[in-house]
Amino acid sequence: MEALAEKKITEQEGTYLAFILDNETYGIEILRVREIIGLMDVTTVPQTPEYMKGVINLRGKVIPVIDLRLKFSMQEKEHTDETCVIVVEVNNTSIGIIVDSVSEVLEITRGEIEESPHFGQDIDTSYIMGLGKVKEKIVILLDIEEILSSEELDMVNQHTVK
Amino acid sequence: MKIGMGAKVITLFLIAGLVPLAVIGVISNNSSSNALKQQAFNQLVSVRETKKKQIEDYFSTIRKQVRTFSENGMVVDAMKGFKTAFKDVRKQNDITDSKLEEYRTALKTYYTNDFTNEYKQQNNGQGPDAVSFFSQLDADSLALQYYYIKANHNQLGEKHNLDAADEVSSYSKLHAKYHPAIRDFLEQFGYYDIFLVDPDSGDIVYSVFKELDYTTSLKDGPYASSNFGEVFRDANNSNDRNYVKLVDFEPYAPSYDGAASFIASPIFDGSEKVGVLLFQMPIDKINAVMTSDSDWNNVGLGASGETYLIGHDLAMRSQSRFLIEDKEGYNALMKGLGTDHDVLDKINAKDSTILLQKVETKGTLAAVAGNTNVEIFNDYRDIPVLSAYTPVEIEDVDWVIMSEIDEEEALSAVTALRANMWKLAGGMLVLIVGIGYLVTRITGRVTTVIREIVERLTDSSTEITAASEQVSSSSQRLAEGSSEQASSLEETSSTMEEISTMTKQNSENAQEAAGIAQKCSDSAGQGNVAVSNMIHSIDKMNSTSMEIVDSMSSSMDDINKSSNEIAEITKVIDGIAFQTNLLALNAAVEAARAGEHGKGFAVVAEEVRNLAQRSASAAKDTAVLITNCVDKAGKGTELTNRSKETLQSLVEDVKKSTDNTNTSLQEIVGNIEKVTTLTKEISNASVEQSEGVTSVNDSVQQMDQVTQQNAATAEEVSSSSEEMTAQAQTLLDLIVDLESQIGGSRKDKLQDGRNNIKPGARKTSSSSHQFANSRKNGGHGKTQGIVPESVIPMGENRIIEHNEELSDF
Repeated sequence: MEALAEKKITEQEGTYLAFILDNETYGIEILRVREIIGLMDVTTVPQTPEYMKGVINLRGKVIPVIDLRLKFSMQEKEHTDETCVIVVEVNNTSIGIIVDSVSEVLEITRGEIEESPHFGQDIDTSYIMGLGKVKEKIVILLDIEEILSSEELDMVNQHTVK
Repeated sequence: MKIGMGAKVITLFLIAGLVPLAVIGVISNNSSSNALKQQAFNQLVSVRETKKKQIEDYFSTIRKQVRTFSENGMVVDAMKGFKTAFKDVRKQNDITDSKLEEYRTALKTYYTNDFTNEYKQQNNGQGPDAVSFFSQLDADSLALQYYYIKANHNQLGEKHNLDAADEVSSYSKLHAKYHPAIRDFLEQFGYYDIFLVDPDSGDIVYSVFKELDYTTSLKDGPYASSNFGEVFRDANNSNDRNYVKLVDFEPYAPSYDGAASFIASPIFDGSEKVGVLLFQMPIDKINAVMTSDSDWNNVGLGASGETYLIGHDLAMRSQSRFLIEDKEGYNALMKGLGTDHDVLDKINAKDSTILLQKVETKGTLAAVAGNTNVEIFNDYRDIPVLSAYTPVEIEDVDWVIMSEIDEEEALSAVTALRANMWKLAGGMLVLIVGIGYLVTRITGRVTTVIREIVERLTDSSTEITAASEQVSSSSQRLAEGSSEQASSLEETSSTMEEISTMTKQNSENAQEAAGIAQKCSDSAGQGNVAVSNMIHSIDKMNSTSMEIVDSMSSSMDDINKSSNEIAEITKVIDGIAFQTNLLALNAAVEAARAGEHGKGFAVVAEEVRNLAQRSASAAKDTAVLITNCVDKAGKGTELTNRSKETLQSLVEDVKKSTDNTNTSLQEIVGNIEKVTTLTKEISNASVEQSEGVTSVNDSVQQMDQVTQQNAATAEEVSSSSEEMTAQAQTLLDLIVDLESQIGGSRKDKLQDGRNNIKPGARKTSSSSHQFANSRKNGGHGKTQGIVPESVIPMGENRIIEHNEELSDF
C-alpha cells in the first residue's frame, strides 16, 4: 500500500489544470489535457446516458462531450460564458468535459498533496488521486482515467466511430 | 286550688237562683199558704156561720111554725074535734069485740109483716119488737089503726094519702075535713109527721102519717118512754101557749128505729089547753139545709167539705156527706177505722149517719165544750180536716155545728201552691242548673274566648309594645330623617346657589362661546382663503415637479443607453479576455506537453493569461461599474418615478385635504351656526334654569315647611309612642290582672312583654328636639335667600345679540 501511495503521490506531483465545478476546484493532469475551448453547440446523441451530452465539432474532429456535473451526480447547472470544455485524452480517445470554468495551471509539489481520505467502505474515491492544497484552497485532483471507465470509453468509441 | 269558673258559676247561679227562690218560695209559700189557710178557714168559718145561721133560722122557723100552728084556729078546732071524736070511733063504728078481734088479727099482720119487713130493711135484717108494740095497743088504737093503717089501701109510707077511711064515725068526717090541710102543711114544710095529742090521755088523736104511734098514748103507750113522750110531757106540762119544746134525736121505733126528733107546743083554745101539737122533725129538710141539698161544692165546701151537726153525745145530728156520696167508700173507710160492724150496718140500712156516726174529734169535743174555733185535726174518718166548729144556738138542744173540709182540699190551694212552688223550684232548679251549665259553657266559652282574647291581647300588647318600639324608633328615624332632610335642604339650597352660579357661568360661557364662534368663523374664512392659495401653490409645485421628473427620466434614459453600450463593449472585452485565457491555458497545456522545451512558452503563456485576466477583470470592473451606474441610474429613475408618484399622490392628498379642509371649513361654518343656535338655546335654558331654580326654591321652602311639620310630627309621634308604651304597659298590667283573675299561666309571657317596654322610646323626643334646634339655627334662613334674578343676568341679553351676529354666517 505504501508503495502504491507513494507512487501515486509521485505521480500526482506535477502540473495540473484547475477548473471549477460547482464551486469546487478540481485538477486534472495537464498532460492529459489536450485543449481547452469555450463552450460551443453540442449536438445531442440519442440513447446516451445523461452525462453524455453529445458531440462537438472541433476543427473537423468529432469529440463526445460529457457533463462532469452529471457524471459526479451533481445538479446540472446552466451553462454560462465561463463554461468551458476541457478536451482530455484518455487511451487515445478525446473526450470533452464540460466544466463550470477553467481557472489556471497549477504546479503542485509533493508537499502540497494529501492523500484522499477514506470516507468509508462503500464510497469509491478511486477517481480522486489526492487533494492538493494550493493557496489555502483544496484542489481535488482527479484521476481522469478512473473517471472515464473503459466501458464508457467503448461506448464513447462506438459513438464516435459511428 | 283553682276552682273552675264553671263550677263557681254554677254554684253561684244555684245559690243566686235557689236561695232567693227558696227564700221567696218559703216566704211566699208560707204567707200564701197562711193566707190560703186563712182564706180556707175564713171560708169554712163563713160556711159554718152561714150554715149555723141557716140551721138556727130553720129551727127557729120550725119553732115559730109549731107555735103559730098550734095557735091556728083550724088546728085548735081539729084538736078539739079529734080529741072528742077519738073516743067515739068504736062506738060509732059499731065495733064489736069480735070485729075488734078481726081487726086485731088483721092489724097484727101489718105489724108482723109490713112493718117488720120495713123495719128489717132499715135495720139490717134485725127485726123489731113489733109484737110487743102490738100487744100494748088499746082498743081505740086497734080500731083506728085498723081503719087508717091496715085498711088503708095506700102502701106503707103512703098511708097519709088517705083522707077518708072506710069508717063512719065523726072522726072520719073530721079526718076527711082536716087531714088534707094538715097533710098539705106537712108536705109544704117537709115535716116527717104532725101529731095532735090529747093532753089528758096522751093519745095521739091524729097524725098525718099513720105510723105505729098513731093513736097510741104518749103517757102510757108503747112509745111513751121515747123522746116523743118526753117532749109531749114537757109541752103538756106547760101552760104557756107560746111554749115550744124541741127534743133531740133518738131512735124512734115507729120510724123503724130511725132517728127522730120532735118539737111540741101546747094548743090553747083561749086559756084552755086543748092539746099538744107535735111535729116530727123533718130530717130531710134538716139534712137539706146542712148539706145544702147535697150541693156542697157550690157552697164552698168543695169535694170533701161538709157541715154537720153533732149532739151532746158526739153523734151526728145530720147526714154525713161521705155516706151520701160514696156509700161504699164510706163503708170501707169506717171498716178500716174499726167502726162497729153493727153500727155500720145500721148506718147502711138506714142510709143515715144520724145518731149513729160518732164523731169524737178534737173539734167536736171542743165545740161541745162550748168553743168556737177553726182548727185542723183528724175527723171521724181519721182524715185531717180543716174544721170550723161552734155550738149552734138551737133552743132545747145542745148541738154543735162542724164545718169541715179535708185539709188536703182546703189547703189544696196551699198544697197546689206548694206543689207548684216545688215544681217551680224544681223547674227553676233545672233551669238554673241548665242556665248555670249554659253560662258555664258560655262563660267557659267566654272564658276560653276571654282567654283567647287575653292571649291575643297579650300578643297584641306585645305587638303593641313592639310596634310602639318600632314607632318610637321610626319616629326617631323620622326625626333623624327630618334633620337629615333639613341638612339636605341646606345642601339643596347651597346646591341651588351653586346651580345659580353655574347658570351664571353658563350664560357667561355661552357668551364666550358666541365670541369664540365668531372668531371661528373668521378663522374659517381665513382658512378658506389660505386653502385656495395653497391649492394654487400646490398646482404650481405639481407642474414644476412634473417637469423635473420628466427631464430626469429622459436623462436617465440617456444614461441607460450609454451604459448599455458600455456594457456591450465590456462584454466584448470580456469575451476577448476569456478567449485569451483559454488560449493561454491551451498554450500552457501545450507547453506542459512540450515539457522542458515548453517552459519558456509556459511562462509566456502564463503572462498572456495574466494579461487576459487583467483585461477580464478590468472589463469586469467596468462591467460592474457600468452595472452599478445602470443600477444607480435605474434607481434614480425609480426614485424620480417614485417621487413623481409620491408627488402626484401628495398633490392628490393635498387636493383631497384641501377639499376636506373646504368641507371642514363649511362644516365649521355650519357648526358655528349650530353653536350660535345652541348658545341661544343655552341662554333660553339658563332662563328656564333660573325659573327652575325659583320653583326648586319654592319646593325647597315647601319641603322645609314639610320638614318642620315632620319634625313636629316626629315629636308628636315620639310622645305618642311614649304614651302608647305607657298604655301598653298598663294594658299588660291589666291583662296580667285579668289573667290572674281568670287563672292563667301566661304571667311569664306577660312579664316578658312588660319588660320589653324599654325606656328606649324616650330617645325619640331628644332627637326630635335636637332636630328642631338645628332647624332653628341652620338651613331655614338660607333656603329663602335665593332670588332667581340674581342668578341669571336677564337684563343683559348679550347672548341673543350674539346669535344675531352669527346668523350672518
